[in-house]
Amino acid sequence: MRKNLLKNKADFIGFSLKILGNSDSNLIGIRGQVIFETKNTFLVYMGGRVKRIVKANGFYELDFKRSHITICGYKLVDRPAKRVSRG
Amino acid sequence: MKGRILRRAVKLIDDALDLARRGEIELARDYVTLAKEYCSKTRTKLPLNYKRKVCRKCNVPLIPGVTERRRIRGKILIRTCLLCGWTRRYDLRKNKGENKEAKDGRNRR
Repeated sequence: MRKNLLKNKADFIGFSLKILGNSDSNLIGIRGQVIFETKNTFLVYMGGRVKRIVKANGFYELDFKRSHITICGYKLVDRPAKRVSRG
Repeated sequence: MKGRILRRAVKLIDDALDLARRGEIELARDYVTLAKEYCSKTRTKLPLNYKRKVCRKCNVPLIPGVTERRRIRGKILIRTCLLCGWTRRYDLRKNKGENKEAKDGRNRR
């Protein structure tokens, strides 16, 4: 399932994200929607505000195909354009 | 795979149009830039009608009244990006099937 996610999805824009663990303890447990993605960060709309979250700092729960995937942030560190060109 | 990328790029441009309508110009620009990067990395061509929805210079989605100015002089349609000043002329004299042929230097007198 995780391989499907990383192989088939070019970017995570529009995904619903829940932060399960982070070096910043204020962010743990919050849900949001990914607005934009760069190599190292997610731009997430949560609680009426837009926050920039460093990907490598924690682990997340993404909604994918009617279920959830729990994944470590460092696995997502990549530019979306490069992910696409790799195949 | 190219079909998948094309669908994703088209969806990103549609989302960028919604964002620009709401007023988030910078984010809309980023979406369009990302869509174009996908197409260039996989050597996929965007459909012509989607290429025309976007400013060629600054990548902002063109919405008449918001980010674009449209004027008709004679039978030439002139579209101007209000943010960067990019202009393109379209000749409307031909039949409907061949409309909007972009020839920039055509009207230079």
